[in-house]
Amino acid sequence: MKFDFKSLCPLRLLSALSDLKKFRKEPQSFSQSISKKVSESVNRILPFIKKEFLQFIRDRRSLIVFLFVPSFMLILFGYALNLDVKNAPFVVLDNSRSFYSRELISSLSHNQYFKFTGNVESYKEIEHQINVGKVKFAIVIPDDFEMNLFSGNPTKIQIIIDGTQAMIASNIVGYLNSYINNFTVKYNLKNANVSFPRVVLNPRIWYNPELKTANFFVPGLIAFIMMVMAVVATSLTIVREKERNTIEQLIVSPIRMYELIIAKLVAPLIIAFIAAMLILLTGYILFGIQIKGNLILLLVATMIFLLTSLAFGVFISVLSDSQQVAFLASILSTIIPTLVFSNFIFPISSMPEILQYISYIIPAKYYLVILRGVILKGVGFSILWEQFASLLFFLFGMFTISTLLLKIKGLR
Amino acid sequence: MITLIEFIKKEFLQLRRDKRMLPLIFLAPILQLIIIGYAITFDVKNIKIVVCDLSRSEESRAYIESFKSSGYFQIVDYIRSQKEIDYYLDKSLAKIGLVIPKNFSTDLQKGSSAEIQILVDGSDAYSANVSLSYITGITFNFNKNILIKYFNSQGKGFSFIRIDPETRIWFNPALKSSNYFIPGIIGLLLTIVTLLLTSMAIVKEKEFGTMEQLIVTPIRKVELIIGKLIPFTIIGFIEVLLVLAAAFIFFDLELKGSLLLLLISCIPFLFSTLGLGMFVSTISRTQQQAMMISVFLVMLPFIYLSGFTFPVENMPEIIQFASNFIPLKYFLIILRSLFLKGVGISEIWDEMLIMLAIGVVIFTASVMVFRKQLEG
Repeated sequence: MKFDFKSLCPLRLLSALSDLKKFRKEPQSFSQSISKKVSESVNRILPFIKKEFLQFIRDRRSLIVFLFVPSFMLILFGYALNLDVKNAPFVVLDNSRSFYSRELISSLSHNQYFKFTGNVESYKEIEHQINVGKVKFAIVIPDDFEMNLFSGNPTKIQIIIDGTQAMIASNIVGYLNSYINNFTVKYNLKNANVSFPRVVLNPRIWYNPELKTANFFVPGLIAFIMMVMAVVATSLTIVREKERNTIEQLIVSPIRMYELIIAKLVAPLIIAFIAAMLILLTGYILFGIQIKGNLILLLVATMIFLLTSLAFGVFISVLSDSQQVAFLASILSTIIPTLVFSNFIFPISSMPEILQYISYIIPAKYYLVILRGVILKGVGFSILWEQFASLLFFLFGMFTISTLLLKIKGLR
Repeated sequence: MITLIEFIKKEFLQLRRDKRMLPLIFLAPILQLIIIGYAITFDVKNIKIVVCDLSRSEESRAYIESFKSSGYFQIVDYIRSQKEIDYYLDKSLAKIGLVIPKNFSTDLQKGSSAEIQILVDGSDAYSANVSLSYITGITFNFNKNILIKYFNSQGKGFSFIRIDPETRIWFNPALKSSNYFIPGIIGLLLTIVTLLLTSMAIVKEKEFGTMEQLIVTPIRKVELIIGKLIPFTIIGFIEVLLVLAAAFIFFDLELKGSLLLLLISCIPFLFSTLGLGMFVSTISRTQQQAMMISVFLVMLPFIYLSGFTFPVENMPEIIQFASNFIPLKYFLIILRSLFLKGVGISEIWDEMLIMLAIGVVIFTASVMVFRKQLEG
C-alpha cells in the first residue's frame, strides 16, 4: 500500500507549510506559492460545493423537513420540558384537629406550589388517593401534635409522597421543608417574646430569579436539536456514495480527500445555519429567551458548533459500510450520548466519576455552556474562551481523522 | 405461504451476512443501557459551593463544617471578598456562594438572629431548588443545636416549637432516579433498534432498485411486509430478553410484578414500533429521508413526550393530547407499574390494548400506502 504522508495534511495551507524547507531558499515565492495552491484548491472545491448544494435542494421534501422541523420540535418539546411544581394536590390526615395543625395546613395551602384538596379520615384513603394519582402527597398530623409542641418535645409529622417521579418528588420535599421551617420560626418568634439566637437565610437567586426550569431546558433543547439536525444531515453523505459506488468516481477525480470533506460540509452548513437561526428566533419569540450577552458571539459559537457536529456526521459516514450502520451509529454515538452527557437534563456532577469523563468528548456540552452563559448569564468571551477552544479542537480533530480514514479506505 | 417462508429465509440470510450490523444491534443497546443506567440521575450531589467567611469564628466554622458533613456539598474555595463570588458564578466554578457576615458570632452570642447570605445560580432551577432545600435543612439542624446550648447555658426552661417532618416516599423509597429511569431506558433502546431495522427495510429495496425484482415475484404485498417483519420481530424479542437480563444483572432492580406479564406486554409494544418503522419506510423515497423522518418525527417525540424524563402531567394540555399517540408512553406506564408498584393485569390491560390498536392502525396504513405506491 502506498502512502503519501504529505497529502494527508488536512489543510492545503499545512501541506504548503510542510514544504517550507523548499521555500527557504527563495522566500519571495513562498506567499505566491501558497496563494496559487489555495486558488487551485478553491477551483477544485467550488464546483463540488455547487453540486452538493444542488443535490440538497433538489430533494424538496428533505429540505423542508430540514429547515422547519427543528423549530417545530423546539415548540413541541419546549413546552413539555418542565419540572416546575405547580398546584401539586395534597390531602391531610389531621388526627390532632387543633389550632396549630390547622395553621400549619393553611400555611402550606396558600402558595403557588401546593393545592389542598381536602381532609381524609384514614391511611387507607391516602393510599387510595395516591395510587389512583389524585394527589401527589399527603400529610399526616399525629394526635399528640399540639401537646408535643407545647411541651417542647420534638414533634413529628409524616409526609407521604408519590415517588414515581423522582424529581417532582424531591422538588416537593424541598418546598415543604422550607414552608415547615418558616412556620416553626414564625411561631417561635411569636411565642418566645424574647429574642433567641438563630441563623436566618437570605437567599438570592441569580440569572433566573423565578426559578423556572424552562429557562434552563430550552437552551439545552436548542443545542440538542442542532446537534441531531447536523448529524442527520451529514452522516449518510459519504456512505451513500459508497453504497451506490459513486465514490470511485470521486477517487479518480482530481479532488483531494480533505477538499471532498470541505465540500461535503459547506452545503449542509449553510442550510443548517438557516435552520439554526429559525430555532433561535423561535426560542426568542415563543419562550422569551432573552439574550443577555453578545449576539454576535452566540452566532459565531453556533457556527463553530454546527461545523463540529457536521464533521462528526461525516466522520460516522466515513467509518460506516452501509447507510443502515451509519444510521444506527449516529443515533448511538451522538443522539443518546448528547441527551445524557451534555448537562442538558441530567447533572454531570452527580454522575459516577468515571462516567463524567465521557462528557468531555461531547461537543454539545461545550456549546451548551456558551449558550447558557451568553443567554442567561450574559458573560463574554473572556469567560467562555475555553469552550470555544474545545469546540475548535474537536472540529479540527474530526476533520483530520475523517480525511485520514477516507484516504486509507480510498486507497484500498 | 411457501413463498412467504422462502422470503423470510432470504431475509434472514441477508441479515446474517451483514457482519457489522448484527453485533451492533445486539451489543450496543446493552452497553448503552449499562452506561446510561449508571450515569442518568436527577439526584443533586457534589454541589459546588464557594465560601466567604467574614466572621472567622468558632460558630462560622461550625456552620461551614455542617455543610461539609452533609455530603451534598463540595467547597471549591474560600474567598476573602464578597465581590469575587460573581466570578465564580459567572464561570460556573461554583453554583452557590455563601457569605457569612462579620458579626455572625457576636449576634449569635447576644442571642439575636444572624443573617447568612446565599447567592444561588438559578439557571438550573431544579438543582437550585434542591440545593436550597438542603441548605434549609442544614440551617434548621444548626439552629436546633445552638438553641439547645443557649437555653441550657441561660438555665431558662423555654419550650420552642420543633417540627421534624418525617418524609416517606412511596413506590420509590430511596428516591433513586435509576429505579425510575431504567425502565425508561429499556423502552427507549427497544424503540431505537426496532425502528432502525424496519425504517430502512423497504426504502433500501427502493433505493437499490431491487424492489422491481420483488414485485415481479409471486409474493403478495401483505406477505412482503409480513416477511420483512417476522425476522425483525424475532430480533426485537431477543433484544428484549438481552436488555432485561442486563438490567437485572447490572442494576439491583426489583421486579414487583410478574415477569411473564412484563414479557407479554412487550409484544404489543414491539408490534407498534415495528409498524411505525414500516410506515416510515413506505412513505420515504431514500434512506436519507427515512432517517430524517424516523429521527425527527418518531424518535425525538418518543424521548421527550413519552414521560421518559419529563412527566406528562406537567405538560400543556395540547401536548398531553399529542402524547396519547406515542406507544412508548403506554409501555413506560406498564414498565414502571410493574417494576415500582407491582400491579397485575387488571391495571395495565388498557395500555396494552391501546398499543395494539396503534400497531394495527399503522400497519394497515403502511400496507395501503405501499399498495398505492406499487400501483401508481
